[in-house]
Amino acid sequence: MGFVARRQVSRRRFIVGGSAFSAAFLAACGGSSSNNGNNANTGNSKAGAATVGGTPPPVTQVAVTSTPIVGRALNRSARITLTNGVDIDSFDAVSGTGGDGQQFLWTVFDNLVSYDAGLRLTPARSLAESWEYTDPATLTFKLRKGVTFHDGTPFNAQAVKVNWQHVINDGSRSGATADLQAIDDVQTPDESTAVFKLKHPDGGLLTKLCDRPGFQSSPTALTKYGADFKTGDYKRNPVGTGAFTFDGWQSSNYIRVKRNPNYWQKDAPAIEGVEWKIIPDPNTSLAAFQTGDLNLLWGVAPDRFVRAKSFAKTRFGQKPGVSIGALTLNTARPPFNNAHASRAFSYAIDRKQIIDGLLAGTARPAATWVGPGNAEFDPNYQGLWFDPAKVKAELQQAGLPDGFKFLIILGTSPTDLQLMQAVQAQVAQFGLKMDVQPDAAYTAKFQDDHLGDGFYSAYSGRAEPSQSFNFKDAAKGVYASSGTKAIDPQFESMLADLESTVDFQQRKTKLYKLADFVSDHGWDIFLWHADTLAIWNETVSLDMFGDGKPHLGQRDVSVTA
Amino acid sequence: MLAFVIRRLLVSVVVLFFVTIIGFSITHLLPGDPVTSILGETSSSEARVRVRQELNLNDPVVTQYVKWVGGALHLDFGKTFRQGSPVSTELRTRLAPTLELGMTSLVFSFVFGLGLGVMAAVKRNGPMDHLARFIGVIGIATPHFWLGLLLIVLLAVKLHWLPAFGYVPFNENPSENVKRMIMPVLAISLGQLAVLVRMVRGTMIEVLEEDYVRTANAKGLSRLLVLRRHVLRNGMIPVLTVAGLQVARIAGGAAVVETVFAIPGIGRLTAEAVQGHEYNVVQAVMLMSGVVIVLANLLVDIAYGWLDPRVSYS
Repeated sequence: MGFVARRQVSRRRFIVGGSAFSAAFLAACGGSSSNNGNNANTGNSKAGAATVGGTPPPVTQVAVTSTPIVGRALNRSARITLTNGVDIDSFDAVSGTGGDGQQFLWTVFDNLVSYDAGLRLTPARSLAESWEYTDPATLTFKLRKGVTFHDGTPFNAQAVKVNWQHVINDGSRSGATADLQAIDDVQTPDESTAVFKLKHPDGGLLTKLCDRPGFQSSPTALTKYGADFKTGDYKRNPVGTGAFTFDGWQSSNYIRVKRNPNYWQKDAPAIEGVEWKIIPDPNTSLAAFQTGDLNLLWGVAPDRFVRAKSFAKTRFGQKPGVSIGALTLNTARPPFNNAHASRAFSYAIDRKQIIDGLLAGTARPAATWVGPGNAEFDPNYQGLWFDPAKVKAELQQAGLPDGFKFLIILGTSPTDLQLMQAVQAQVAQFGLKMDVQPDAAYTAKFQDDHLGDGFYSAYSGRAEPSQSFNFKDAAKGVYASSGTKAIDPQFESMLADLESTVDFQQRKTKLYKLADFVSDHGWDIFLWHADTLAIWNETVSLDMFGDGKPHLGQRDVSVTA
Repeated sequence: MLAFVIRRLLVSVVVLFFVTIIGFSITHLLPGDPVTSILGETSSSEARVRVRQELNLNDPVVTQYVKWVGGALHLDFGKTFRQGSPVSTELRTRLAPTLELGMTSLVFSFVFGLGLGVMAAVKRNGPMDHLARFIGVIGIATPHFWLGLLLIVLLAVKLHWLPAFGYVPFNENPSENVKRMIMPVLAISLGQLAVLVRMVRGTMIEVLEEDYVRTANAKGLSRLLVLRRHVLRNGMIPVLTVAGLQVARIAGGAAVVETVFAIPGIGRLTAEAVQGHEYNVVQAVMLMSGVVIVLANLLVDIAYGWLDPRVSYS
């Protein structure tokens, strides 16, 4: 594996920012407004896979650009006011875990490496001006000069090293530690050069640095407030290099940030500040948008999105993302240790019917963990989608011609229950007797008590898709390590090969081979990729990113007069 | 009287002891895992084991209980699991909105419930009586959250009279505070108001038919005097009992109303703590609620004697 990787990397040395790596991303993804611009058939499409009821609908998007409305002057004193249903768990990017936290973090912090709306790595948004694999085990970053943290501390190579140590430090209780496990050391030959010495090549490392592991905190602030999760106070006093500085937080009430006058990007940010109101009830949030108390509403549920279509002076955004509704099966025991049984289950679900009926058409059938928001997404890849003939054939091959009985557990969300009841009704006609059991602790019980033959959840997905295969299906993932997932040496070998590959096209090909493997073995049932839905006031302009999260830092949002 | 109060306070200690046991048991019986709430669903089993040890969740339940009660006796309720902040600080910062909401709702429902109930009883089968009965039925039948949403749609979205959500402290901006409190108070009060109206009306009608009221009227006393001295005072005892119970109902309703109106109070803290398996917060809130309800009932018992001299504290 190491030999293969070394050859690949040495042949394809690259510098991002005019490099082959960046060009590959751009070529693969097309325009920023749609990730479905990638029409190249990688040859991974499953031959003979059914298309009945499974052709993804065309991507429709409205107003997903931060370009201000032509003819109107920018209102630089404006504030963006939006809501989040839950409070942030930590302002320290490293110790926080909630999927809602990044929207705040991206305003106060910058990442060593950042991606754009199409999830393509871009130096223009990053604290590193360029990066280069000088050999398969050495990743060298040239850092932006003249950048300072909000407390005046200079951003330099030593700061990068301190932040790496913060991630891997046990006391930070970081969920991001595993993402940086490939890094052996960070060397600082000079102020503006940081060299990551790797234990082994990690092709997904750069994308991982776009998320929690790559946020850069002030070393001075980490020392001053203390970074330890239990005793430190940095989690309440964030200091980054971002376009906004932390301006206050009242638990369960609001989070505020204000313009950083010394931001390294010229003329950014284009607004005075951002305020998050913590509003737990989505009905209240919608009313607050109608009254003008909020000018941006993110993550709108499909039914409310449809209802909001009648609102005046409102713009609507719908963006395919990386999130995925999926059934994670216990493949370590019957019935789903039999691949034919789980494949029959997958073929029995008419995803399009559910998407149209219950999700207002705002999702698209899913075939694997790679979502339409991912740069690697292949729109032509077909999944094990609805096909009554194949259900019967797979049941015959499984030795279960009359069907079988199983239990699916899920959380207590009424929407999720409704979706699973629809699946239950669909598969029943093929003799698949699916029991559905909501349980607030379903994931813990699935792992620890082996409750249920599978569970349903809406998984947020990852910008780096190999992470999903890793934690969902790999031996070191949470399910295999808890004994609910079969371990296959061939899969492990394929995943290791993917992880050590840096070239974009090669990674994409290998990703879809992994997808084939998971489908063939029936490890997971992929249901739908829900689009990100948002509404905002007509004076606001913003980019919607493929990761499904609000990006409000840098120049990502503007308001016109 | 003093001996009675001391005796009741001693009994209250026993009651609160059982509250701590029940509260502790309920929180530990909650489905779900606090460690999963902290680390997220994608956490590994190893990470969960490590954090469980850090938070002493592997200790025997009795040991955890004794440690918690020991701290609570010194008003140290421990720290929140997720953010590591002292629970007592969380309670302190969240107390003001809930106290304001609760006290205003209690006064509002008591004043209007009493007034409307008396008028309904005196003018039986008149327009006020019909109104009181209507409120009595609607108020009891309408859930807090639904009424809250209706008020938001009507008063904030349609009429633009009031802001839809949020809380501003009175000392920061009195008028904004009042504006943002009107809908939550209405939402939480209507149910309590309905109970009081029905109770006052029923009790007053009963008392109005008593012989001593007929006698007072026959003596030529004014209608107002008869009402104040003979009817209202005698009719207040069962009403007072209900008013005492309203404290608990308002505390429960606060969790819902504070969530609907996004008010950062104790009720919402409790709802969030239950969802996030913040054992220390839930236990502290239950103990605090127990203290408030015990004290409210003690005050009601004392008031019985003031209203009715026949009540003995011996």
